[in-house]
Amino acid sequence: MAADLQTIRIKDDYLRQALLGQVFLVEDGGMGSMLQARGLMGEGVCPDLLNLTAAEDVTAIQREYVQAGAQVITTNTFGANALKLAGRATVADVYQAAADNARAAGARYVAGDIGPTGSLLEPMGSMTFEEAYELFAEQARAAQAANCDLIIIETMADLREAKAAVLAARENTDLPIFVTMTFGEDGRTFLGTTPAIAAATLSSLGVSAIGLNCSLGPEELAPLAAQMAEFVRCPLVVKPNAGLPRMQDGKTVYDVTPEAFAHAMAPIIDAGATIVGGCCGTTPDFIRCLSEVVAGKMPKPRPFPQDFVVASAQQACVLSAGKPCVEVIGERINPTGKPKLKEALRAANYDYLVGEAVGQMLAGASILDVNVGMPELDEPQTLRHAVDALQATVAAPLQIDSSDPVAIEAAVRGYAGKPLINSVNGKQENLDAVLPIVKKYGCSVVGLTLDEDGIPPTAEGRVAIARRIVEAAEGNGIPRSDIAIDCLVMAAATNQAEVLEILRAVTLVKQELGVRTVLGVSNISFGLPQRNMVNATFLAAALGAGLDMPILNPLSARYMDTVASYRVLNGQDAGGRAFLEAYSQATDPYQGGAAKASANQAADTGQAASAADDEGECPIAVPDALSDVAQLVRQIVQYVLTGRAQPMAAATQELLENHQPLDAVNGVFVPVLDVVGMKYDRGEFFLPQLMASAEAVKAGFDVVRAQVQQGEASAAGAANTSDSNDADNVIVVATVEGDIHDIGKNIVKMLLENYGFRVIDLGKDVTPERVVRETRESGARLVGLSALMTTTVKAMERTVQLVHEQLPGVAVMVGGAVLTQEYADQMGADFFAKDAAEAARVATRYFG
Amino acid sequence: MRSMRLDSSVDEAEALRYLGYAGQQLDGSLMVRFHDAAHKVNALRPVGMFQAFPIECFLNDEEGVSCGVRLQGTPFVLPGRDIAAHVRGAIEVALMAVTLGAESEMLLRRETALSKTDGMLAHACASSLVEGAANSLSAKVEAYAQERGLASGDRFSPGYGDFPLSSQRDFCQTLGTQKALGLCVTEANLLIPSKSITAVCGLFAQDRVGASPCEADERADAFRACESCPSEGNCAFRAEGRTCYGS
Repeated sequence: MAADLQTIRIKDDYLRQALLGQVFLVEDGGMGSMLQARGLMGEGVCPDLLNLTAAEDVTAIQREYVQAGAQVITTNTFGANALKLAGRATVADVYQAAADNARAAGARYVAGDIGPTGSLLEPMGSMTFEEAYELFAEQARAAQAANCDLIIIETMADLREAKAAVLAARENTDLPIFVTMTFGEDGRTFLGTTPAIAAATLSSLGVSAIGLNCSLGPEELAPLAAQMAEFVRCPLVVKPNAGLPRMQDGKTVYDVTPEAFAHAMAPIIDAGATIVGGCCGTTPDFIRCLSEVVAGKMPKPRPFPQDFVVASAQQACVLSAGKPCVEVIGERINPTGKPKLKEALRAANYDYLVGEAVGQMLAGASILDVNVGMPELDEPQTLRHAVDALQATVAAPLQIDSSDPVAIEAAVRGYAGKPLINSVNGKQENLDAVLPIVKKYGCSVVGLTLDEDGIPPTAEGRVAIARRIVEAAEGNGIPRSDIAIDCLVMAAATNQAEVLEILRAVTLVKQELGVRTVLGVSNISFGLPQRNMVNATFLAAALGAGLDMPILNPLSARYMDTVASYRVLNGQDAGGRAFLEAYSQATDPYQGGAAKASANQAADTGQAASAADDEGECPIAVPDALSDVAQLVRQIVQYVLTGRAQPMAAATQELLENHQPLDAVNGVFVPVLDVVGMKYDRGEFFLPQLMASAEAVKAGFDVVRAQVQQGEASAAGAANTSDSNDADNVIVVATVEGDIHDIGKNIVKMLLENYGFRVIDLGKDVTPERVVRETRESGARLVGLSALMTTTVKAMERTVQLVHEQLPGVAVMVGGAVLTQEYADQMGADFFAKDAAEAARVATRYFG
Repeated sequence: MRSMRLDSSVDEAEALRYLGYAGQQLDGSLMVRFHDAAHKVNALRPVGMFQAFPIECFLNDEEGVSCGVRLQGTPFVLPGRDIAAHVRGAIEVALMAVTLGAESEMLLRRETALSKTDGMLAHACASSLVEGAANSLSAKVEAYAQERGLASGDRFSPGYGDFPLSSQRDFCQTLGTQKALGLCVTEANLLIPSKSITAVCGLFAQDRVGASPCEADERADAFRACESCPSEGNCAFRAEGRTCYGS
């Protein structure tokens, strides 16, 4: 059942058997309520310090647990990290005392206990993954130094934090690691993780045992434990509370009796739990009854899970063993041939990636490929930032796509979930570099059938490489259920003889190796006309040959139509329900001249038609240079006034076909923006209208910029398209330290960009030091600061002072709901802008 | 203490008001986007919790004015003259917390990444939703009060008047919001998830409650709290008929 036992230190044979799931192991119960009962938990008492100040009491409680049958005693160190101890004692001293206490109680196994940091990790909170890791690492080292026999990481609500703790324990000790997470009544953690996702992610990380504790009683935990058991590759731990807490006379009480608790644990044990104990509200009596339940019993063997899983913290893509299942990997986050994505990556504009991600998810992708490989970028850093931005905003699990092992590791280390690594290949050097990362971080992996001699032309040649990859992976402790093989598609135009070999290879690797399969579909049509048609045909053939995960552009309805139809044929879409829902009203693209086939596209068309070009008043004069397209200009003005970005882009494109970018910018965009600003000032527009108009102009600017970059326009245009690196139009903007409100700052940023300034956005909660650093590095001459709350105006003042002190010649403009000209003057700001339109005017005057 | 699911849905008129809407002529496409934002936000599941504590005593400052409220069974003292005045005469106070959860953070981040306008619309809708959830929790507090022959007064939140934002941390620790709701407090004493509300509510003998402000007066009462705010007189929120603690 358990893997990796050879690399850890196991105290004795019984523990070894327990880690193999062959015997039951009983842990202890609650500590807090026991300390309370002894009157030790007075006002402001830190329970972890009681190891030092009330050692005998702690030992006495733990002795009661030993006598009740607990084999594992957890040290009283749940909150003993440097942050929470806050200098009152060292982490090492607390763990030493706590382990001594537990040993003095007669514990068979002393488990160094590690609880959550107490701070929220990014992106919700401000603690970085590395900071959490460092806190946990100090605890883990202290536990090992104090001669603990194992480490218990418990009550984790954030999968990412749990992963930081596991890595810290793994990299700093050689002890067995148990990790348990806590779930709410809805069966998810606060951050949306299900037991199945936690089980798949954490057990792939190679911990010795995983499970659930706290929050709920045994009855409520039973179904969650069963969900976990399906995906756990090691022994399952369950430590419920003594029922659900309720308040009585100002005290928390639990209603389940020790006998009822033990009784309710029976189905949990039947579901596969072999390591059991209690959490809040449980006492030695609970553990005594529980010990009796497992006494003399042997656990039932549990099969090793064979499902292929790729998961984010919130969403799993599961290819169940033995069931037909096709899942789409979206390929669009890849800069190859995508100038806009390239530009976004160069500018570290990860919002653009989020847009691509959401579009693909809505179109039906289950997994999103993330590739940021561009020669001029620092790939490890860019990939990591891209992955962090995506996991903060979209639920779809990610495929980390890079040929650089350093970049792969940078991206997967802090990923909350079980990512799919794309890829490893059959070259020995590559196997040696990538597989240890796959194993260490518990990932699934795509193996490419190429090696030192290239890509073999025959199916058998490809299968042979696939076999070597699978064997090498297993040699690294990676089960074959975590492997998908990509038999590598060649173009039919150049390698026609190989096409059927590729399909045969897909069938063979599945049959002979029992792994999943992946193919990048669109290569097949390279060099042929009607590429989509060829791709869709090949896709259908490949699915028939056994392809599980096509990598494709899900925005192409044609491919998704093929996938949806195939899911009816292979039985995945039971009763064809999803198909009927999506297609019963759809028209056949080959009949009656209907333009679109898919239901999705039909909907798109409807939307476009409804956005009719109703014409309103035109508040700007059409410039002479554009008089031949006056109608189009008036339409663009309407798109801006009504805030419609999509038609704006198309109309701008049309305008630029025969006219200069500069005429579009200075003759249309800027004048209409001035009108928008005026309308806002007069109260004719409210804020969302101003924003929507600004976004529409931005869509137009993007088109202009793309054209300028293609060299189809005069250099004069570039100055006004925020493309120049000239520090003369650079503005740094930030929401000040301590403030997390960034809507106002975002509006200012957008408007400034509309007026052609290059804006460096530092985000929210930005320290004065960082503002100074980034301003200095960028050479910007103007800084815009925003604060919404009276409490953070102080931080704004500090920032203004630091900028003035360290960066003479740099001006600061301030704004925000509670600010006034008077406040701005008091804090020494150079400019006050009451709103975004004013900020744009200030900047224009300043640089003008 | 356990969390409970709270019924709430976006009050579109209120959300528009948060956005500064004052009867401007609206283009259809913006309204479509607004409804879309409301629809997404309505899919969130607000949760909350409350716990009632008997009042042990009022603390007085050197001027003899009540400047704090000590509660039984917890070391947490409600600090400030305004909160003391707000619950004067109450027998118990309920500490309340509601949140739209981590999912709301992800939704708002996503919407903002996709479009700043849509993000802003979603923010306003989420503020309205959490306000509705707080009202829903208030109804539960009122039901609890009635069971005990009491009646509940208005909500009063850290950050109102001289009830300092810095009491957020102890407030949340006393209630156990991190464990029950996943609701935490930042270094700068702001709530995370940001679409969350904490509040204190006095539970009065039923014949006393008439003397205390009632639900309908909530907004007026809120403005009274502004009177002791350092920004009183130059507050941009007030200028628009809103308050800084609206969300």
